[in-house]
Amino acid sequence: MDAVLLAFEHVFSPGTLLVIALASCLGIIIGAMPGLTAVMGTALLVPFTFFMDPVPAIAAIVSLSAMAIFAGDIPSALVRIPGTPGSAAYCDEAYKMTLKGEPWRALGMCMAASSIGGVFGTIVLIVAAPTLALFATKFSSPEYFWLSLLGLTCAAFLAVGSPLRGLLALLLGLFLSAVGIDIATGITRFAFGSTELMGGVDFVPALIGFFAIPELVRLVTSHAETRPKVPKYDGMFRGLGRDVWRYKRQILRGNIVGTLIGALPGAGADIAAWVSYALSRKLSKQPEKFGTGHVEGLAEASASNNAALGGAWVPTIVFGIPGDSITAIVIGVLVLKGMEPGPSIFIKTPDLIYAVFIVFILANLLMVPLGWMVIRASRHILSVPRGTIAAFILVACIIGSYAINNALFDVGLMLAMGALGWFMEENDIPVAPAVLGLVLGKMVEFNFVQTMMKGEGDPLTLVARPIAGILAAVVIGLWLFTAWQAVRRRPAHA
Amino acid sequence: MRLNDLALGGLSATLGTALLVASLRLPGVRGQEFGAGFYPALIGVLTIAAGAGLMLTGLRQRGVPALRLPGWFTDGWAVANAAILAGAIAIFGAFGETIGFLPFAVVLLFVIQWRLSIPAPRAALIAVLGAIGFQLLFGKLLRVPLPPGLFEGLL
Repeated sequence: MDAVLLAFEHVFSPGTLLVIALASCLGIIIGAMPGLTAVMGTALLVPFTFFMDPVPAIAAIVSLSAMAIFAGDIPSALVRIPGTPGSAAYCDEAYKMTLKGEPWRALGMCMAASSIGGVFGTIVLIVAAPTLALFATKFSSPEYFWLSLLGLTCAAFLAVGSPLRGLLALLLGLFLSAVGIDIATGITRFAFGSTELMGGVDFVPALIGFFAIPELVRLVTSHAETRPKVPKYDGMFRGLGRDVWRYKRQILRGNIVGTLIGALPGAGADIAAWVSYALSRKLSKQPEKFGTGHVEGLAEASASNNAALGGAWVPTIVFGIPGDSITAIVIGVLVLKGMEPGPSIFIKTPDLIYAVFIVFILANLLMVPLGWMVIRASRHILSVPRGTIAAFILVACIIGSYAINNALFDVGLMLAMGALGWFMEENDIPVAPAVLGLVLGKMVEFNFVQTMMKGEGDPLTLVARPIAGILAAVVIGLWLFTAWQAVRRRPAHA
Repeated sequence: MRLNDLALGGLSATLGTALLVASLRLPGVRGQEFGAGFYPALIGVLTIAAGAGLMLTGLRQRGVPALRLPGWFTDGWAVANAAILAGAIAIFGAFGETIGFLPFAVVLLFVIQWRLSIPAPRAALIAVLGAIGFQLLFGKLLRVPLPPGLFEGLL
């Protein structure tokens, strides 16, 4: 009980509330700007969190990501450009509603369903996380080895179109995590004589480079200057309650599917939205209305992508295995703050966990008034010139990379990672598995070496304990399933 | 810059081989079964395997060029913008201490906006105000020691 009170004290301190308000506003603006993603916004936020206590730092990330995922619906509906990948699944549907003269009904439903989805995902997080954490206290190095391998496997194979490209991305991330001094032996690996690299590839410049530079390249090389014609605001609460009640079953289904997909390592809000939209259409009594500006699919998919955010936190805080790119960043931030995510965090700092729960609820409730304000102001937000956005993001990338260690080396590192991220995107190599590899690589290696040392080199030690054996079977099963599918499909490109 | 599967697989396999060779050269530790090179060597082997898989797929592809440049590579304006983007980061990384953050940010904010069709007077005003905003936020509020460079003694 003391921990809960302490958590309330943390969250409702003026400083944290200010951080939540500012991060929410930033998230809404980033989400509403076409081309800027929630992950990129979170990556740019990390340098700021470096200067905060753990609770406001995490609160900032939670608020920004929740708001950005919702706000991505605004340009989807008004100008048919998804603000974030999470809104792409139902972009056409929302825009068709605008063409039918119902943009505010579409956005009202997106806002309400997002808020409900976010709260649902949080409730699952509150219920599931402590129970799973209790179970996870029985885990030792072999279980953590297989669990991190399971996370990496899901990220590389399940969430992307091409397993081989996913694997390449993952291996790149694992290699980057191996750069620097090896903790077990004290030997420096692949630092090429650089003292800066002896400490490893710094997470923050790598993250900013991977996610922000490819977006910037797109912004500065495209001629398309969007000056969208946004319809005049005409009220969005009229009939909203009736719509929500009418599609309550769809919203609930979106909540459940979104939370489950979010909890799957490597699969985030965008995949949740695609799956839920497809499911909504399949199970609808009026499937013929889909694609013509029908609110049903919007209700289910926008509930789903926000529910996925909460779901992704379950494996993150319980096992230290990120559910998506945003929670991979959260792990990096927690480690920067000297806190190791995993079951021990429930024992060592329960107030932090309760604070995360409170912030999630708060951010999802704040979504309604802030969402209403931003929808009213969408005409102005969408008219900010692309040049100004690009210029400010570039300076933010440079200063953000520099600020972590006050080192110009990190600015160069960010450029190198940005070039790599751009090359990967050009070749359909997903960036998310590389980030997960970078975050989890050291954990995989450490748990592997520790287990092998415990077993005096006997590889059977890795599967000797029952839970480790089950996890190993799941991981190997996934590998075999992916290989079988790849051989069976024989795609045009791997 | 898109490589076909054969070229991408070849590149991956080559880099995987280089990683494997470099890992095997790392010194072992007496009394320890797994030296510092074991884990990266494993990554190298898997990279070679993934590269070989891509090459096999690539062999089945017909008529896909080994290298395809993005459409904007033939557009001088876009190439110049991308070069400014990369060059600006590289210049700050190399000469940030000498130039200083504030003058660098003013110039960069102006150039990027101006290149992307924002009228020069407006771009200049936003650049100066924006750079001062960044300086105040990071330099004063967050206490990041931003390099003063040309403004040494003034900030």
